[in-house]
Amino acid sequence: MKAPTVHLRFSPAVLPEAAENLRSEIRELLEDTRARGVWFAEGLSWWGRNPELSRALGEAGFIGMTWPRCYGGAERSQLERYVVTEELLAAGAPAAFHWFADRQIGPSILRYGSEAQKRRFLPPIARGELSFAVGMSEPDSGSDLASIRMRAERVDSGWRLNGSKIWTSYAHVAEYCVALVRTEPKSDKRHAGMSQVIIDLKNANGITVRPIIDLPGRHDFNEVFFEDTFVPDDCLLGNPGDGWSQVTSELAYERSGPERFLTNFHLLRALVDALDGSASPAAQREVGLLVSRLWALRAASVSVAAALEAGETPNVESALVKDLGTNFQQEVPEIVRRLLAAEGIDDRNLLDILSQVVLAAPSYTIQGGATEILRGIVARGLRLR
Amino acid sequence: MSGLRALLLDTANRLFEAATEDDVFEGVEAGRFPTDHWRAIEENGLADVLLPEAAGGAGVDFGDAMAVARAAGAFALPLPLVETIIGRRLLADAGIEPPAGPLGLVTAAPVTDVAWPDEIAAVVVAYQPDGVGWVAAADVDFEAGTSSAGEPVGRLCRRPAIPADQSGGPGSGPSASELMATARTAMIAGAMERILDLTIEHVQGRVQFGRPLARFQAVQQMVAVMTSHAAVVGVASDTAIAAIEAATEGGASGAGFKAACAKARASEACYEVTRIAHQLHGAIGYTREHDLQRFTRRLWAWRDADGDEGYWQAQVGTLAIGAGADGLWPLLAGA
Repeated sequence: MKAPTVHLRFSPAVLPEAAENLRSEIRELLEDTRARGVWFAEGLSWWGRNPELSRALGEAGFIGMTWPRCYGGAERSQLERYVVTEELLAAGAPAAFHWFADRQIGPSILRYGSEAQKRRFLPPIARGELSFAVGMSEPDSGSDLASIRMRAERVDSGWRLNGSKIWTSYAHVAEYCVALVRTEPKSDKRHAGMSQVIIDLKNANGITVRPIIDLPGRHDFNEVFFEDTFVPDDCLLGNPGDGWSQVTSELAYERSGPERFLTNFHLLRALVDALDGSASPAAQREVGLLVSRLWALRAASVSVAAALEAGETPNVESALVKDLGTNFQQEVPEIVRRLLAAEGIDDRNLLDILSQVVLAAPSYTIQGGATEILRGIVARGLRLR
Repeated sequence: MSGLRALLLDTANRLFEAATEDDVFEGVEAGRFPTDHWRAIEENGLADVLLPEAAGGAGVDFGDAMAVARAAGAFALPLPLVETIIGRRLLADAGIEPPAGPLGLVTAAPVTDVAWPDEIAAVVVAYQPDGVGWVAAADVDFEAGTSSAGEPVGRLCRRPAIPADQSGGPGSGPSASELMATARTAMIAGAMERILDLTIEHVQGRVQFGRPLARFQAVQQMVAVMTSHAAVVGVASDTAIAAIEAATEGGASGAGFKAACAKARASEACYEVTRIAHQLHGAIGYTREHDLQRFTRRLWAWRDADGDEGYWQAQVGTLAIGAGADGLWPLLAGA
C-alpha cells in the first residue's frame, strides 16, 4: 500500500505579529466604548446594530481595513482584519451596522465597481456611516439561489426593478441594498443573465418593506418589494450578466469567518463564569469538549484566512468550516443545558442568554448556506459529484 | 515542506510500506514482532530523529519527527516507533543514555497499555514534574493482553521503580504527556487521512442500483462529514505541533493547552470517522479481509492511548474554568 492521497488539508497558519499587535488596540477601543455606555453585550452578539459603535470603529480604522487608503481603507492584511473580527465577536459587540458592508459588499464594490462607485461608497462605509443590506434570497429562492426571479429591465438611462427579496436583514434601516437580479430572461444556462444592482433604499421609488419577526422575537429580517423601482445606470455593480460569479466569488469570506463559530461565545463565557474551582469532573469535561472543539475550529478558520490572504480561493475549506462551525454552535446550548441541570446551577444571567441562544440556534445552519448545500460543495470538491 | 522533511518522509514511507505488507499483519495478529522491519527502521535512524545531533540523532525539528508519526498512522504501522522516538528524546533531555531497542512510554496521562511488552527493551517512565527514567522491560510487572488493533499489549500493574542511575530531572520543555498526546494526535490524523482515502476509493468504485455509491446524495453528505472531521483533526494536529516547536525553542507557549485540545478533538473524532467509514464500506469493511480494519481498529486503540478524550477534555476544561470569564478568550486566542 502506497502513502494515501491527501484529499483535503488545511495548512496550519500562525497569525503574524502585526495582526497580534492589533489585538490590544481593538480590545482597548471596545473596553473604552463600553465603559462610556456606547454599547453593551446584547443577547445575540454581533447581530445587534449600533451605529455609534460602528462610527467609533470606523474612526479608528477598523472597518474596510484591507482596502486601499484612497478609498478610506487602512491597507491592512486579511489576517489583521481577522483578528479585529474575532475580537468583536468574542466581546459580543453589536456590529451588524457595518458587518455586511465590511465583509462582502465593500469587497465586491472594490473588486467589481466603477471608479465612481468606489469613491462614492467605500469611504463612508469605512467611516462607519453607511449601512448596507444584502438582497439575495427570494420567497421562492432559498438554497437554490440561481432560480431568482426579480427582474431589472433596461429603460432610458437606467434600470426598472420588479420583484421581491426576503430575509433582507436591516433593510428597514440600512441606507442601501445590493441585490442580485435578472437582467436577462431565464435560459438553459442557469447561472447566466444575473447582475448586481445597488439600490438606494431611502430614496428610490416603489419600495415596500415588510418586517418579519424571527424566533427570538427580533425584527432583523424583512421582505422587500420592488414595484417599477428605478435605479440609474451607475447603480449596476460590475458587468451585466456577471452577477452569479460576482456573488459566489465572495463566499469564502462570508463562510469561513469566525462568526460561524463565535456567535454564541457569550454563552460559553457566561458558563465559565458560573463555574469555579469546585466544578465537578463531568463539568470540566463538558467545558473541555466545547473549548477543544472551538479551538480546533479556529485553527481551521485561521488557515482559511491565511489562504485568502495568499490569494487562494478556498471555497471547499470555507464550506467545511461553516458546516462544522454552525453545527458546533447549535450544540453549545444543548450541552450547556445538560450541564446546568447536572450541576444544579441557577444563574439568572446564564439562563437568560441560554434561552435566547436556544431560539436563535436553528438559524445558524441555514443562513449563509444551509448544511446540506455546504456538504454538497465539499462532496464536489472531493469529485464525488 | 523542507527538503529535509521530504527526504525523511520518503524514507519513512518506503520503510513503512514494507513493514505493513499483509504477511506482517498476519504475524502481528499471531503475536509475532516484525523484527526485521524494526531493525530496518532503526538502522535508517527513524527512531533517533528527535535526538540532538551530538547524541547521534538527525537533528531534525519536532515538526519533521511528527510528519513521520503521521505517516506511521497513515500506514497503521504495528511497531512502537513513536513511543521510542519520544522516549529516547525525553531520556536524552534528562541526560540519560537511552537503552538500545524499542521502548514503551508511560506518562502522567492515565496509563492504558504498553505495546509489545515482551519485545521492548525498556519502559521510559516520565511522570513530570518528578523526572524521567527507564526500567528494563523484564523488570516490569505486566498483565498481558491484546489491543483492539490486535497488537500484544501489557498493562502496567503498578508504577515501576526506576533505578537511580537511570533517572534524571525533568526537561524544561513541554511535558512528556503533552509530547506523547501530540504525537498520538499526529498518528490519528494520518490514519484518518488513509481511512478517508479508502472510503472515497470505495464509494467511487462500488456500484449498486446501477451507479457508483458516490452518486447517491446521502453518501456524498456522509463523506463530507467525515472529511470535515478528518481535516479538522489534521489542522489541530499541525497547530499543536507548531506550538510545541515554539515552546521547545523558548518562544510563546500555550503548548500544553493546545496539545490537550488537539488530543481531545482527535480522540473524539474517531467515533464519527470510523462510524461513517464502516457504514459506507458495508459488510466487506466489517471483515478482517479488508484493509479498512487495520486503520479503524487502530483509531479505537489510539483514541484511548496517552489519555482519552475525557482525560484531555478535563484538562482543557480545568484550564478554561481557571482562566475565568475574562481569561477564556485570551486562552483560546493565545499566540
